[in-house]
Amino acid sequence: MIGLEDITYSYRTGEYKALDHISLTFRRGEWVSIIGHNGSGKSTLVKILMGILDDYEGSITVDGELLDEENRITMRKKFAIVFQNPDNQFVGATVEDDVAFGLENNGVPRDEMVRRTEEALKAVNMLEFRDHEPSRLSGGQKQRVAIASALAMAPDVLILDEATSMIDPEGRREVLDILRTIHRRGKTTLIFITHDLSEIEDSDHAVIMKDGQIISEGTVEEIYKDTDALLASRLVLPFHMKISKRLLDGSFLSYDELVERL
Amino acid sequence: MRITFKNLTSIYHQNTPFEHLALNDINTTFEEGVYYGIIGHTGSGKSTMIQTLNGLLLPSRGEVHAGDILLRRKSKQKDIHRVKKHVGMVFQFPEHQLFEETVLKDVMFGPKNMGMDETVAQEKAEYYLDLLNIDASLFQSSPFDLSGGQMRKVAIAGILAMEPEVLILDEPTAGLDPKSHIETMALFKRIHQEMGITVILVTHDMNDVYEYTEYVKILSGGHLVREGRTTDLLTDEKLLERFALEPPDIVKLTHDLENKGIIFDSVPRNVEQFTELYEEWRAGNA
Amino acid sequence: MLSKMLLGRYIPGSSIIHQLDPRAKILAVVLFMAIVFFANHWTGYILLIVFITVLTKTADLSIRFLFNGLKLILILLLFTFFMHLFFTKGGTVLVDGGFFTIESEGVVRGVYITIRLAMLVLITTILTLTTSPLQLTDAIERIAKPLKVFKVPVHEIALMMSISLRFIPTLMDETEKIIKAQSARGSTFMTGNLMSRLQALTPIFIPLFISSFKRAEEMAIAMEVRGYQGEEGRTHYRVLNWQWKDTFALILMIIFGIILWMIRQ
Repeated sequence: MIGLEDITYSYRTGEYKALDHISLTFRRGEWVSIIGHNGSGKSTLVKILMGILDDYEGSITVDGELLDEENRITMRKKFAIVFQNPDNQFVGATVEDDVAFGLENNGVPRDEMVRRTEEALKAVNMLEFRDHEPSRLSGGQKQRVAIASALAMAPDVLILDEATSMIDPEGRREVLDILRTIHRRGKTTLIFITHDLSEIEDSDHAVIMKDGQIISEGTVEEIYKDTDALLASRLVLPFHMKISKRLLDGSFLSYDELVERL
Repeated sequence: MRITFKNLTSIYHQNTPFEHLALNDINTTFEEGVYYGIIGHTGSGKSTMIQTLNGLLLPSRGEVHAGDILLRRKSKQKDIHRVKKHVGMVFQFPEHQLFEETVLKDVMFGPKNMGMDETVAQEKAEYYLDLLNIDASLFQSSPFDLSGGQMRKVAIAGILAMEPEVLILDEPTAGLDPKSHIETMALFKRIHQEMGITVILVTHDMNDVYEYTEYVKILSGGHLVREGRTTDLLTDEKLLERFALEPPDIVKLTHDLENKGIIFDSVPRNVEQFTELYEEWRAGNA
Repeated sequence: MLSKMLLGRYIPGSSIIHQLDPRAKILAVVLFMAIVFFANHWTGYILLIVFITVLTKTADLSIRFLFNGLKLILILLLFTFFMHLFFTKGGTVLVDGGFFTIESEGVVRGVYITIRLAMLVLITTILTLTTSPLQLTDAIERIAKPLKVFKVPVHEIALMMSISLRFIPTLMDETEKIIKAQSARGSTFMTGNLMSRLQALTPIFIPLFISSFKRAEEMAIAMEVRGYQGEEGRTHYRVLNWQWKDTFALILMIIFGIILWMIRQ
């Protein structure tokens, strides 16, 4: 479990707060979606979680242990992240080299490295592309490799920082399918950052951020119903919820339930 | 401006081991003032087709007739330049092409290249920046100080300011948030209607193709496999399935309701029309 | 234009040459570069040509395709040839044009040196066509390992090479896209004097620089969060496997060298 307690951060002292007294809890195996626009503070939050920024106010506990100067490096190993741009996080010359990169850095013995690379690629259905170069992959495939590279490190928490925003609808579906599988296994906490409400349906908990603050928080249903917060952060309901809102009482339902009820 | 492809074939890396046939013997026409959609999978030839439309690529065989300009394998630079003046192209992630010191200068770049003088170019630039809701206070800022959404708008203004008769849009909403997505598509619709220019939209987003285009051309493996009215082709689920294309949300919902016995008098194009038709149906069956 | 460049390109395949250990291939190429200079007589040069032809066939490459690739350095080859033709003196005078003469030694030297140069380019092309850039980097890192003693950062250089190679296609794509985007805005790169041509490059270079810096920054963060801290304590995913056939290939190259040496005159 990860607990953020009253986190405040400014890039320059005295300037506006990129994060303004944020408190959040991520439970093990939970899928938490963080929704908001550029400048809402989500990227700053990610950088703090990843230990890239450390001069924040407030406290962070990971599995009951307070994050500090000394345990930062070991704690960082519990997190893995997938970024937005599929090209700029592909370090290896081929798919398998990229997945192995993190393991090489951590000094994992070669036999184990081969096994873990294979397992991770299998988990994202990219094993048959293991010897491909990134330039021969689609955006969606590159993001799946990025997820495999993260999974290979066996993290407790997988952060996806707008990982679906630069890829086509098909790639997006593939990525979401993989996240569902990971979620079902229940071992990895997912922190999913997006500005697309149609992608959050599987999350256990969702948070809307604006100007460094949390303006809405709850289940997906509660988020969908918080019209004021949606309007304030320029969010658009997914297709079937739009229809539900116009023709039914706006209740929270899946696509199939919508067809059923119409 | 009417653009016609005659037996157009496009081959990349001809006579090397990397040779690749991108478009195969295409015959088709883009009529003046129509909103077209081009759909097909990655590698189907979409991007080759649009680049051939404005002279960025020349045909390997066959001809392109753009108005009275003829483009073929060995066309002259002068003709190619003339086509570019009439056919504007908004590339995917157009904000990556910004380079000038100020927003205004960047938008004026295209118009000036097309031979407009400084004052006319500036007028056009200001007009289109305003149309895209870029505040005049930002005109003298560096384009790199703007937010991602604003940068996209400035880049689009840079194309519009050239006042093309044909506007090609290559995934114009990629990476935008949903609200900006809707606003951008609404803007292109307005430009199409008010200025009567031809718009050619290339996108993976079948919902946009369905809602905004009048005619579609479906490409697959370098062949033009079908063309026709959007409402005819995109409601044909068998056809879409054959080319592994996703049906638009509205079409899928309408079909699923038909299977339940809810049948509308006409085919809805967007959420508003769907709501109306459904309410009519509900009133008629209450 | 760029697509015609053969030097530095890789064509995947399964020929015996493809399968050799990249270290063996690099060492063999280095040997060959020395061996080329053993030839000092027409029999030697014919042997060299035969050798390269056999090698090309063994590597499953088409000879015509390889020679097409040579066209790009044709100017260099012609320049070498004519330099010798006009400036190497000796033998009988073939043409006497007053202020210049062509002598038989010049023709012979011209032909020989041009063949040598072509052979060197061809063997390097065969190396890169049959060895992926990744394998080359790996091999260079292993071969250069002893240099660490002299404080040469071999690992860092190899990593830099590997990342650069990985980004070449990405950057080429990006350059092409930006050129197209600016060209769609009416930018012309091929007209006007040198100054205006250079100016026309600004709209290409600025976006390219900006995106490259962004890429570099994001890449650095991606590497950091994946635990990269230099070579210390790092293990290796790729292992190179030196086999009998690699030793055999080197022995063949040495034997070929000895033959060339023996027939020297």
